[in-house]
Amino acid sequence: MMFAGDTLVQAAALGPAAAGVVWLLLSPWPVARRIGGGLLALAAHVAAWAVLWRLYSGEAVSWRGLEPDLLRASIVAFAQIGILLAATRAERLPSAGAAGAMIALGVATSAMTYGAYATGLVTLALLVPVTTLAAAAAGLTGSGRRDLGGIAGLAAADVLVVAGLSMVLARTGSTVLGPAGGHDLGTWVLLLGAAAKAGAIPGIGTWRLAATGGPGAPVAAVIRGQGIALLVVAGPGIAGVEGSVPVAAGAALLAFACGAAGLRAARASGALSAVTGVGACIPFLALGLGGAVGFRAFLTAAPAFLLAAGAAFAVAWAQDPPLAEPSRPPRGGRWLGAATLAVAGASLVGLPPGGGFPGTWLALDLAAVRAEVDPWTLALAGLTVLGLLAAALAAVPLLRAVRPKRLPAALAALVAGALLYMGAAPVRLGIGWFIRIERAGAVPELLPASGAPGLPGVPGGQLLTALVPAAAIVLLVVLLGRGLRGSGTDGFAPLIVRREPRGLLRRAAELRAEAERLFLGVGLAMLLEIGVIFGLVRLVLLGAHQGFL
Amino acid sequence: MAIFLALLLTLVLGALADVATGGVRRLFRTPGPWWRGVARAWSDARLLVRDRDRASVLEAAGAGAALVGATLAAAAAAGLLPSSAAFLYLALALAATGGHVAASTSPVEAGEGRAARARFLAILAEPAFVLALGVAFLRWRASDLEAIRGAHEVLGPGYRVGPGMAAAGLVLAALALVAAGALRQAPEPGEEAGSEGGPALLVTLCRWSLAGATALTAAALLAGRGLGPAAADWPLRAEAAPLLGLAAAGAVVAGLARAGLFALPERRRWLAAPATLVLALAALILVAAA
Repeated sequence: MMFAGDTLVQAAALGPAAAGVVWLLLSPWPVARRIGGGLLALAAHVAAWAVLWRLYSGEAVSWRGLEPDLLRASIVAFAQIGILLAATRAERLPSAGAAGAMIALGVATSAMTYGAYATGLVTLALLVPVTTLAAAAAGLTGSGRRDLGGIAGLAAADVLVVAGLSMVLARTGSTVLGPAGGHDLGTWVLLLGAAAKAGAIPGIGTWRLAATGGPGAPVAAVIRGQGIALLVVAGPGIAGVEGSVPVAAGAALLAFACGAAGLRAARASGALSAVTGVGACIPFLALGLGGAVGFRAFLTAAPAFLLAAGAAFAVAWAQDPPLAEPSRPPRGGRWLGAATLAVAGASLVGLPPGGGFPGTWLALDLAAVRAEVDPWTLALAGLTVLGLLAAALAAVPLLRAVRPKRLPAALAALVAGALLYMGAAPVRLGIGWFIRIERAGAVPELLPASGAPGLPGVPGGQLLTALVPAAAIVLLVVLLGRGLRGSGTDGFAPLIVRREPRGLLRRAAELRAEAERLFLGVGLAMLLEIGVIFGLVRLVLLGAHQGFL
Repeated sequence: MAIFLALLLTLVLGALADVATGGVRRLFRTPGPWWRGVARAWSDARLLVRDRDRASVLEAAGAGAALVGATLAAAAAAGLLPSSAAFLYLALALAATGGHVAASTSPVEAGEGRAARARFLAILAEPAFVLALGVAFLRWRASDLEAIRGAHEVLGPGYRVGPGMAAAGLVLAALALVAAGALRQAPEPGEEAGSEGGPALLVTLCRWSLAGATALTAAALLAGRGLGPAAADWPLRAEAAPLLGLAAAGAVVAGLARAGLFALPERRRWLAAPATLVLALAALILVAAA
């Protein structure tokens, strides 16, 4: 072995912050900062995959209080791909904004990775607010107050996560994260915070942060990863895979709300947040439905969500007219961006053959099978699919609005290719990974005679067979026309054109603008973070009684 | 070959729906022949070849996605692919979304407005579509078409299997499914200059494939003895006749629903969505009460 396990863990956890610092130090020299910061970031990412590989091979990898399991190491590795894609966009922001975004991305990624690898509940809690503070700091280097959107919501999510972890500590009496059997108020509060961080709650937290055009927005990629890592902690990590009706119902309602919010989106950024938000709800729904099948659906959906959210952000972020980058990319770049966004969007809303399709299909199929006994689960599936389709249709105008740069588009296209492969052959790709994680998580064995749905829903070969006649017909039309024409249309056209607010709505809009002008959101976020610090002090003291120090 | 045939079937059924729409509109003295839907597709193809009225990449990709979705749904309905409720829905959702993507980059401004209104109507019709599909599966307490086919094999076609209220509920659900499916389609091409040729042809193919796949799905839920890989090879065998007959009837119902939509003034067309929802709710009540 070239590197010891502890070296790899250190590199994966601390490397991103080091990369951010190096980028900042070299920031006056564009080529040097890209080479120096980029190489360090890539090295840290390779280390994260090496940690995953060691765990996959059955080796134990640890350093001090960090001893990741295979699932959390995998979440970190997939989330870091999305973060690297976000970095390619952050790097091109105006100088002060780029510096703020890149250092915030590095520090937040290290905090996210460190927290996900941690075995201690108190260590995890201490790192939770770091991502929010990093996003706020990055937002402050931007040009407007709107760049700080979502910070108050993220601070509220921090409060929920710390409160949830405190309740878990009080219930279990142990500072070591481990199965405590079943959901309780603590895990529900923790999951609500995780949902806000994953971007699944419309208009709050990561949803709003990612919809801003400022330097804080790329940090949303890190916070989404943190949200999914917290979902793993609260779900299989603490509560096991028993499932929970409130969690499943909450996820279905949130998916529906995300779709509805997508319909009301007046700008490209709103539609992007909606389609990403609805994708974030699927892992929550899968774990809420629970059992061996629900857990398998989660394992299939979560990595695809992280990759698709990253790819969609890389090509479709900041495409609203006042925020768009000034130069027009060549036509090829636009089409590559649109194709990438189409695949990433299809993955997020679970349409075939995107990477999110197998997980979404399995979760919905599980709900439909359960409906044979509990018909209300059909209502959950119904709400979810309504949200999925609404978000998909609301995102249609995004496809013609994308104008990405070549590098982010090319890298995101590679991820889109991977998503298509994940959608077509999920079992071939992940069977070893599924089995290892399920064994470690003590997931109950499923007898084939039980009639539960299983992967693959449709084998990749059959998906490919369906592609051939469709492609043949489209190719025939293209050949008859002897080529393709340019689009001719541009920009985002909202599905519902909203009228100017009147009466109370107008007053509310004015109040909101006034609150933004006075930085009330940031003030509220500060107050909430002070609450988080008090909560953390209390948690450390509680933990000290259990031997944390 | 069987999957290719499934796609062709959806296109033929969709064309039949367009003919039904034209026929009803002709009855109500709307100008133009009853075969105008099919004739328009032919003239668009001619313009594509003669004047090189080409499609854009987005239109081609959207149409490709729509056709893949329709193929998957039709093949699942015919028993050529695994056919759970979730898979059927997601495939039909891909067919609908792909069609709207293809229609979203119309070269003329009026086309963009039509596309946005069609997307909005599709979203309004979605609750009825989801409910109708759910009720049809709930009727058999199954989540898979395979199980429903088995029930049909033993008990006979679904519309004949009692109790009467459940059978009526199933028929109503199938009707609501097809009618709501007709409202989810991409818009018809306009008459103004510029909205013809390749783009219009692709959007028409999307509409046909979605209408056909929805009709086949409804037929499979009503009398779903699937074609099966052997029966689906050309020439089709006699055992496929009931399914195809019901699918053709479904396509005609979709055409009628579309004609009903056009009979409404432009600003009142959203009313069609709650009407289909009422139909689906009635189906739910009948199935639940039985």
